Amino acid sequence: MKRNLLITAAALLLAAAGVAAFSTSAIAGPGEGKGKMSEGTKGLQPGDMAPAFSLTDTDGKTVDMASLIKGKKALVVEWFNPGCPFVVKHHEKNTTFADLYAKYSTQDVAFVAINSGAPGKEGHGLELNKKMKSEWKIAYPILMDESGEIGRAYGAKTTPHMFVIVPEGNGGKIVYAGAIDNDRSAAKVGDTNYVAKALDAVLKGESVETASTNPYGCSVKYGKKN
Amino acid sequence: MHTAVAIGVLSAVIGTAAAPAPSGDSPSTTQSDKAVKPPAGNKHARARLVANLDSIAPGGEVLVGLTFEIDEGWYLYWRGQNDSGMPIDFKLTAPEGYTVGKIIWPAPDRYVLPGDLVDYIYRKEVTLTVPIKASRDVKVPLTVDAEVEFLVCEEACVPGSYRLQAVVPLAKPGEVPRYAADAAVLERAQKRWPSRPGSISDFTVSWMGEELLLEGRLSEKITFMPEQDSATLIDSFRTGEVKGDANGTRLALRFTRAEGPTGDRVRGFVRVDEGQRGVSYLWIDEPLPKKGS
Repeated sequence: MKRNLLITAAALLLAAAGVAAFSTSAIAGPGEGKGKMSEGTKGLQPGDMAPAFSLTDTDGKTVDMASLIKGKKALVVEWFNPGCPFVVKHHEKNTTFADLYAKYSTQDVAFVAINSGAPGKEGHGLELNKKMKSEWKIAYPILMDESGEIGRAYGAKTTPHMFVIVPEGNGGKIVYAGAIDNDRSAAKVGDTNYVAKALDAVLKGESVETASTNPYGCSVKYGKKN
Repeated sequence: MHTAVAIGVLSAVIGTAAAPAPSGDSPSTTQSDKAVKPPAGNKHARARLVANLDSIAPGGEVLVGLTFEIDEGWYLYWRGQNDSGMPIDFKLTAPEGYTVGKIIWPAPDRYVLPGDLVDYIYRKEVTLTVPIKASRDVKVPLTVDAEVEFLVCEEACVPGSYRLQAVVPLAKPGEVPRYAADAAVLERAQKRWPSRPGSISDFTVSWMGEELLLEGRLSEKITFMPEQDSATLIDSFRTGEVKGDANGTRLALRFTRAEGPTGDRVRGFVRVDEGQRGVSYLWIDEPLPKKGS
């Protein structure tokens, strides 16, 4: 059955234009709706198996998912681009990632960062990533995925885009996918860190309450597909 | 010489160097030379405040705009369901006696990046408009203070921020406010405001089960751009835009409920391309159909 909506649309138009909206002095700012759940978006979702990967780190060593997660309670995967202001926010201007690592690496949680930027794009290149790993004292490997294959397999959209994976069979299962925290600005850190909350739940053997949020940050600098 | 229009009394506390002088010799009242170096984004997106009138009468209304001039190749973000980036954050205050309306955002462009990412963006120039109304007994001029934060991107992204101030003087008794030179900037912005639904002939919006159908018999292309607080558009990359044929164009959209007060409504811009007849925009704000209806 079809319902026609043209008539109601007229009233909506006014609302959209804010013409009749003088009753309030508050401005509907774009900061509203921070940290909302994402549903139905493309990409991997909690409950999905985590695609396996085998990539080289900044020292040229091959690192695969199976060896990272083996014997651990969880693996945190961070999509990374050292040139992105949102990555700078959490690695340089604040200690979000360093704090996470300090707290959870001692509790059988492994960490890895993946850079899916294509050659010639912002944040790409072994030397740059090696330099920033040392400058930001990142204690976990940064893996190079310049073809973007693994990023696309995960549906990684932004830097950072976070995944928390728990061991399942020979691989891993995603229990959290989305933003690092609930402040989507380029400067401030949120008061809720979704990854920390997910890890707390995993370590207690509970299910993750907020298992999916909309990630925020720079676009992953994928190359064009051939 | 002609005196500068009153709205030209504009000063940027942050990013002074990047803000172009409005016209002639604009007095800069609160400039501090030792100010912190402006953020990198200010170089690529230069913001200023504009108004459509040169004064405001008690009981009257003025349109104030935040307008950006954006470098070629660079862009800013709408408050849409963007896969990446950050929408312009704009807060504006006015003195007592003035009522600030809601921000009117112009329709953005849909932009697809490698990796099937979809963002809703503005290029070259964008103006966010805010209607401000004066009470009948207002005694003070309209001093507008604005705080702006944004992310401007080309291949890479850099953040920017401004604190801007503009003054619209009170009209003298008996004086009728005249259009200011910047009224043209606000007029340009209105070209991207939604038009009246009936103004696009042979265009319909309807539900078919759980699908929202946008159909235009004369349309060459239809694009739907969901607002960030709308119900979530499923797979915006594959379904957000469609090109039609000689029989017209039909866009079928599916949504899932999102959190927040408007998460059960479909809200967003529709862009309708009608070839030589031009481009029109509509605003959709519809509740999701109840399951099983």
